[in-house]
Amino acid sequence: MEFFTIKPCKTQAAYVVEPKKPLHLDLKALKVPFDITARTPVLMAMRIDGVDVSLYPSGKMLIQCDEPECIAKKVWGEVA
Amino acid sequence: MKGVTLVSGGIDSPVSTHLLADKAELVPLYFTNYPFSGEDTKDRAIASVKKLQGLHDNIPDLVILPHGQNLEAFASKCERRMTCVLCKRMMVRVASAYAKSVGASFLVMGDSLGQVASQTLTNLAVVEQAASLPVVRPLIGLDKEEIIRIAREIGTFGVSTSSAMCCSIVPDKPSTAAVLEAVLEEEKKVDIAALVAQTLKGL
Repeated sequence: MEFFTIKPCKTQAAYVVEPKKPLHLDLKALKVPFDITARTPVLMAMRIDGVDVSLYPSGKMLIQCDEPECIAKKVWGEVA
Repeated sequence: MKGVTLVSGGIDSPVSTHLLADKAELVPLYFTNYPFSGEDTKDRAIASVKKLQGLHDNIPDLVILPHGQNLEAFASKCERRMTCVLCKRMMVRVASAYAKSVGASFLVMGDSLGQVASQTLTNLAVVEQAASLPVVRPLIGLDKEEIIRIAREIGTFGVSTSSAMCCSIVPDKPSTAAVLEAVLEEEKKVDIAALVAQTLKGL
């Protein structure tokens, strides 16, 4: 999957990564090989390689680390 | 006189705590939204309380309670735009129970009227309805510039504005005029009593 944007969130404490075309993920049913810390229909929180990741149904992610691209590729590799 | 002051890690709550700290013993209480916010927000709350402890010798260490499981329940089962109102109602509900357990008789919150879209008089009233103790809001009539000026004076502005992840579960369009009856209907979709008990177990 190609990235559409990678930009700092407004607080500068995480990165917002969005796919080129929005996805329509069913987060309640989504199976991923990651440590899921919370699951709701509107947001799934995961911990991947020690990094906290929030995944939205559109495929948008909030990634709290300095190099979000690698994490984003891992997630999209599983869900897209 | 003893109260429980809700500390968020932002600019306002350390100021509201400071303004009342000479008049009452205030126990600072923080709700962690993890995994819907970062641990860095908690670090800000801890740091701001340490600053306040340098100014007031009657402020104990920060008490931290888990709140992420409550947000997960609301986001899973309730009307999306009400998430923030449900979140704050849960906080004051749990804070009231905690306050009673430590002999406190009121809550302190850092709301100021109209500062953000969700801090409308209507929403404040709906939130307060969930509290079983009086809620004191020392900042209610102050504007942001006044609050920032005091935060700079007491030395909490720097820690309160350090980088920290925002809450990731805030809806795009949070309710600005929540209707109590509708909120109560939404709360019927979750087991409020069980969530309160589970949260207090996190002490």
